[in-house]
Amino acid sequence: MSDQEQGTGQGTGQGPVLEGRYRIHPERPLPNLDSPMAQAVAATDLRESGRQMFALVCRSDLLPRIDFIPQFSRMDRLPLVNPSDAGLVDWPETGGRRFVIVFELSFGDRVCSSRNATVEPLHEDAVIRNVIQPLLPLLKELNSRSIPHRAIRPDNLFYTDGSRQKVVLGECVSAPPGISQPAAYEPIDSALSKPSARGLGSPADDLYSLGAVIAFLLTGGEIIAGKSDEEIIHSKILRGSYSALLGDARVSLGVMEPLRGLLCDSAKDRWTVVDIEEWLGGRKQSPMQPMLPLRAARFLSVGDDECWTKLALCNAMGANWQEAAQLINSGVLQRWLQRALSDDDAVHSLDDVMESASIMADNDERLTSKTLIVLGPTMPLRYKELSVKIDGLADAFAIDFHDQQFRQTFTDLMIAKLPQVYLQSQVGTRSDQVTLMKKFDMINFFMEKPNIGFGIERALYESNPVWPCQSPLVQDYYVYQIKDMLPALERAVERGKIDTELVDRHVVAFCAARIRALSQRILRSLGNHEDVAAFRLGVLHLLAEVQKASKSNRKYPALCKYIASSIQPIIESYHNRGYRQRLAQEVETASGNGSIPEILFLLDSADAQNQDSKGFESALREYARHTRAIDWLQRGGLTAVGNVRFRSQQAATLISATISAMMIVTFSLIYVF
Amino acid sequence: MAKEAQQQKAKGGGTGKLVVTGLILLPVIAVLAPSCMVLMVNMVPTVVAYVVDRSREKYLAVTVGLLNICGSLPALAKLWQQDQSYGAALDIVGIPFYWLMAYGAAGIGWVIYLGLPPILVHYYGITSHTRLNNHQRKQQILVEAWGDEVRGEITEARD
Repeated sequence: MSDQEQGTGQGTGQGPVLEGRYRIHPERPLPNLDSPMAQAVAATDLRESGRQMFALVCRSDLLPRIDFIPQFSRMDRLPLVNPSDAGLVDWPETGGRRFVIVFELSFGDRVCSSRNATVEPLHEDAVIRNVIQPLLPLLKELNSRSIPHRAIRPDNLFYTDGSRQKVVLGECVSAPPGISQPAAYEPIDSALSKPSARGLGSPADDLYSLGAVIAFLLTGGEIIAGKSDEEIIHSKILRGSYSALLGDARVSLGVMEPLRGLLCDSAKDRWTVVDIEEWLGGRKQSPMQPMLPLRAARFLSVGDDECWTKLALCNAMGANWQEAAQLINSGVLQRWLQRALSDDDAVHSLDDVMESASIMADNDERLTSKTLIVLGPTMPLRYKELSVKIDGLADAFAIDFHDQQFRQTFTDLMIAKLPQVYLQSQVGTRSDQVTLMKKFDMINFFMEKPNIGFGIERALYESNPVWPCQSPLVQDYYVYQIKDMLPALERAVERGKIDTELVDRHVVAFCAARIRALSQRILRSLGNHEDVAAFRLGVLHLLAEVQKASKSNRKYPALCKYIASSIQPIIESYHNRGYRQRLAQEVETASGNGSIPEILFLLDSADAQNQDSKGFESALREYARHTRAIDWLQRGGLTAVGNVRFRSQQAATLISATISAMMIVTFSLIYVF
Repeated sequence: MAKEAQQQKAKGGGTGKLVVTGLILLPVIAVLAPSCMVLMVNMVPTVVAYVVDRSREKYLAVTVGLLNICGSLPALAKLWQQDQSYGAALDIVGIPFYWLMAYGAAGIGWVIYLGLPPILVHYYGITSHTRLNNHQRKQQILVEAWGDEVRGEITEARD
């Protein structure tokens, strides 16, 4: 505690300021308060200098739970380290921006100093009085709001003060849900998933974590100490979570009851907050019996594992992808399910999968994935090395987007529509089935279109509504809202980061995903790589739309100057030289004002284009007429013998007629008078 | 067959016109026979020009003819002063002055007709040069206003 207090000190110092109130001190790290995915640094409340503050600086490659921060902020009377404020600040060390979350340091030391540490075992009464009872109101509140915490683990529990009695729950907003959770504190399906793909989860996941934390506190963590995540998962699958986490530890029947309820591996049968409340209120029942999966008469060997249950088999097959395909194709799996497990339903389901696979011409990977869906419908979706919870697939897509291998696997998985197959296998069991189905169909829709503004980038931003733009042009600015895009581009121009074009596939996809009313015409213009003028005009339209969507009148002088220097192809698309010069001068003036819509208004005038076009066509005809005349003259058209003869004959006749007329008149006059 | 029918029709039409013209001119010739006699003598150069001129428009015949008629007017005036008798016509035909007037005027017609081409060649030479410069200047103005594309190398106008 004393270290923490030293770190947060009240020095004014220099550093970025959040929302004009909290000064962040990057030069004063507070390692004791670090979260697994965020670094803690000192912070100062500029309005109330007496408050002890610290800030968590989130990783730029992860997304904090931005949507939930306001809700957690309002839970200030609950036993939770709740954020005081959050937002983006300029980060002097990297030159970009970082998302920081400010907390008040109103709690004591961690219950467990690190994730691998052990603690002195607590007495059952102490656990009930200091952990379960204080946390119950928080769990009830989270349950009623359907906001899972997903970071309940011993090293994220803090004592309320130096007396080390009651506890408060640490923060859960600095990283995606469940990403930092060790396998011991996650249900089997979540533990088997890639950490970035655990999804939002449900309050049931939190209650499982609470059960695991209680088991840890009662045993001091000795049972799981030194075991890898894989070993813990394997143990949970083999023996059930209760036995895996408590081993042979002796607990009283009173505590065994909630532990068995909370550590139930079936989410459907797991205890709820109501059960805990009733139990604390005095309701006593006999502890729930462990529901271990059906054990086969003989094991099936996969890799180094001897699989006695379907769950174990699923896990082993997911880890031994090649061998799994052989087991399926050779019929060994069917025979084992029929003869050793007598699971006729599973055999029928597998037959359906095989039949469907032969019709769809599925390859081994798809067949194996579909088989695993049938064998373990509550298990994560597996495809090759990928193992994801279905509601965490979009999260993983975003977090691991820059991993080339993951992206390829994800693309294959989406093309095979395995998420849809997974969801169809769970009809009636998920409330979010329709939402997820729509989301995956949408990802498929965009991935099938290769044009700029679509493709995998658009799928990324559509499926992750607050994921920041991943364009190298603006990545360090952490643009997760459309209003930040133009300031980010302005900064990129100022720093000379833009070599050629102002936008790339990411920027366009991000804007298209965030601006609902973005015209398809703009995207078509941007897809026109052959016509540089059309492309640049499309860029200008896009930026103007971004400014409109930003609802800001801010000026962007550097950006406009860059635009002015890059619009030569647009100006050259006009034919009239005089208009070009005038236009260039007007754009130069407008760029000085920093107004993108003004530049667009000048460059995209339909009247001017029409006039220019008509004028040019007329000029073309006139030039051609002159060319023909010159050609005729140069070929001696006027001095040609035929022409001269014809003209001279006409002239002679005319002269003769004139003279004759004059003579007749003269003669008549003489004759008369 | 149809062609032959058309030719026959045209031939028939020509004969008809000749008959009509003859019916009109015959009384005139009958009344103005002395004048016609004088004119027949004085208008010989025009007849020659008509024969010589192979063009469809007969510019030479017209040029010479108009002046030839003007040259014949003094003779006709003299004849008409003398009651337009055959005797007066013969007397007038015999006076060289009238011959000189008629043929001289026809000669002027010939001179105009033959003298104009060399003059026009020279005139058109100068005009060609001027027009050429004029067209080239206008083209240059167009290029300056619209760029090289206006030369027609880029034919597609902007949408």
